[in-house]
Amino acid sequence: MIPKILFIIPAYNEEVSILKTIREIHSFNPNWDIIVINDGSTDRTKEILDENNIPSIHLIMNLGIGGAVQTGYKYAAENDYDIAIQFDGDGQHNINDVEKLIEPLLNDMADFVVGSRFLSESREGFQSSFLRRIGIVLIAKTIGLLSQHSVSDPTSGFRAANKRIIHFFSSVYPIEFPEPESLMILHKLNYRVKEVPSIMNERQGGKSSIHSWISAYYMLNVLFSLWIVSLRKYDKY
Amino acid sequence: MLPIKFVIEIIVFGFLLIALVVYLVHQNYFSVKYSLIWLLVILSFLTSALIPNFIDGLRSFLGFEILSNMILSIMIGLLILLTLTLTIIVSGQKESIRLLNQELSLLKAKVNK
Repeated sequence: MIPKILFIIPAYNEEVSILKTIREIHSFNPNWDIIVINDGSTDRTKEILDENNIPSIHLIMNLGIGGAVQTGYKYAAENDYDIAIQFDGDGQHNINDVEKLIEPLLNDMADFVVGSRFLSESREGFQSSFLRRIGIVLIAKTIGLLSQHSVSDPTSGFRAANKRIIHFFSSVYPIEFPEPESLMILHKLNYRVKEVPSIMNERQGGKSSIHSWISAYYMLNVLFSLWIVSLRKYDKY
Repeated sequence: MLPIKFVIEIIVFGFLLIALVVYLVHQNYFSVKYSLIWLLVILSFLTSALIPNFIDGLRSFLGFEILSNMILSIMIGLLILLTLTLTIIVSGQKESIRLLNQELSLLKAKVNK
């Protein structure tokens, strides 16, 4: 049986790059479904999506990346998808890496797979700025310390989930620092999380959802939230 | 014992605040549930002012030299408590708004299909 695969594409003010991203996915494999979550964009993202008949959900107000991605997981759960792939609308993620990303899910070797910029074979492409990398290492070390599982790229938004995780995330999904917190939750619940190497590009348009990355306040917030997540109780799906 | 002038001022101020809270509930600016915490705070002030020697006894029990210091400290404590309560309420509402937004947007997308 061919698995039903859905691309969840969160988009906030991505009028420059959204169409290119979608065409790239369609030309790579026309059988893959797409849902764009327009997170209350104030530019022409909504008009572009509607004019081109691209399946999309227009959030009535901006929820941030976490709320937008979770809407995609809710849609995937409602429509019985087997695999959901988180794919940025700004051209950062590489379509050629998608097959590698979903392979562990198709072989039932993992429940959740993250595309990592920092795994040995993939030290090419956009690696993020020096200060951000320090932040990423600190977050990764904290997750490792709290969950006893090592991660290399806890802020990567290039991810794929199987049906179990789709249903889990449709009811429980962290909103404030979704990427590192969601990894922490999955590790805590002993879901099978795997990282595969991935090459990322620089953003083509839009704005990063992380505004004050280098600020100590942001880091403190992330580390505190990871600690809280490690203390909380979650029910496995 | 509190000076009688001060007791009268507390009573007048307390009743004015009660009237304001009841008015706000009546006009639907306040829900009954959230007005209760305010009413309880005001009533506890009124009662402590009306019971003779209560405030003075409390002052010496808590170890305050000056009465105004104790009243200010209690007020700050109560305000912190109220702010914490409001933070809990706001966080819960934020969660509900997110959920409503997601469900409504999903439904809209389904209807417009």
